[in-house]
Amino acid sequence: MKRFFTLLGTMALLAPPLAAHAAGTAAGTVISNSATATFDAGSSTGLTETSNTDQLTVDELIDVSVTWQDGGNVSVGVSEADGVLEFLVSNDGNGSESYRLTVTNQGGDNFDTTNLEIWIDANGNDTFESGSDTLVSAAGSGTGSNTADVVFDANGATETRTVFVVGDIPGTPTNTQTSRVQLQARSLTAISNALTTQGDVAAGAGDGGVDAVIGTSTGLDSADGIYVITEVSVALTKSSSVDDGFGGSTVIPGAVITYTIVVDVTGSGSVDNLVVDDDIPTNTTYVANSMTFDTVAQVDAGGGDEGELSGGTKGTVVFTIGTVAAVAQHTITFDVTVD
Amino acid sequence: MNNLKRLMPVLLLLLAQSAVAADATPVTLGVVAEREVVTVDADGNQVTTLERVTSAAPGETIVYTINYANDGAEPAENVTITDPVPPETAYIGGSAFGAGADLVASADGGLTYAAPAALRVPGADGELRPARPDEITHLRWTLRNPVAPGGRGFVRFKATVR
Repeated sequence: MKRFFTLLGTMALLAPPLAAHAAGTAAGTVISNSATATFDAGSSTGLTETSNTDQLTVDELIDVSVTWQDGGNVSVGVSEADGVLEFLVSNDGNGSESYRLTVTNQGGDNFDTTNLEIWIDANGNDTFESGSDTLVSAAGSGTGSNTADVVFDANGATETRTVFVVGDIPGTPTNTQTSRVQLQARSLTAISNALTTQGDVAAGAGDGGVDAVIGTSTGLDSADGIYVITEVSVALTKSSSVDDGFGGSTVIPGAVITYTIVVDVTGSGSVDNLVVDDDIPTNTTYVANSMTFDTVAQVDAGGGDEGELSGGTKGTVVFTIGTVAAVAQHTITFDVTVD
Repeated sequence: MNNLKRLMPVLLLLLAQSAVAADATPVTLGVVAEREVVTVDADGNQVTTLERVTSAAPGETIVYTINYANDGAEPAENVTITDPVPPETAYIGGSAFGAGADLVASADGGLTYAAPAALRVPGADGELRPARPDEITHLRWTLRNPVAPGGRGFVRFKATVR
């Protein structure tokens, strides 16, 4: 049994496009149509005639969409538990329908995520909370797929749901490697009636016994989410040079020692709240206004720049760098005199 | 016999009433809903036929046909046929058809009628703007010629289930 939507193309041009999301007239609604005629016959004028009332029952349209919501690869660490991917599953039909959600590791990536679980965002805040959200799939094991059947009501509050896929990252991958995981939703009516093609009809299989008709999505949709290993590291390399004032580099009282600290941020991702501080060595005294950050002179008293002298000339130099995206390098210098 | 005699006036009255009723409605009207079914014939040509429907899914196009016939003894003159577009459907612009009929439409629930292209509705800014086909609420056909006794015909339009 097939139905042909031959006029859809024409309709799209002439009428405003039907909303792609849920919808439409609820399954089971009765559409009534009755016409009226007026006419004159002989000496009788203003006669009227009313037709029969044609009644059409609205079928249940089966349509679903799955979209990945994270907007980019989700950063995780090696051996991290409970990495979260966020998806939106939408019942785009016009009835209440159960969808079989299936989470599966995909190929074409670097590693497989393990113990994949499916959670429903119970409070609708788009944030995964293991305490208040609902685990709907049995806890998985290994790298296998996992399923759950969930009811979506196209005419109610559960027309769309945020679905979280939660998995554990193995200890083997290295920086920037990815794992691709798919969330699929398929109509249970489509599964049980073997409906696979747009226009397929299952008589009486819809809400309240109306026919179920497969829409453009074929009752099946999926989306992939991607985990990426993001390991960032910070390395400091400190060196010094001495100017004894006599053209040499002998450390004598009064000699000036210039310390250079090279800050390397490597890997991928970024670090936040990066602060580098260094105590003024014993038996030396900080040279006023000698700090530089990436060759820019710094104000000892702090202010808007990175460098600041804390605890006086025998104290500590503090560089507040903040968020640094890998890969980056910054260079700090300051001078002291030997007491 | 006495009983029958007593009943006669009643029977005559009933006959007279049904005769009056038949005279009052010589025009009959019937609405059917169908869908277009496209098949390919032996020569590879696409053939479109109509098939009665009792159910339809959102997005499907319904062809509504209103058949009229004059079963009376006199011509039916000044015939108009009015059909409200079911609110659960959207009229497809340009789809209304009626041989020998002039079409007007309403976008205000049947209060006023005009040619579809001349219909105006208030826009978001309060200014009147052309009505979209899906905003048409009623269609009305006016037959240019009388329908002779025994004559019949139909008018038709297409609408998409919302």
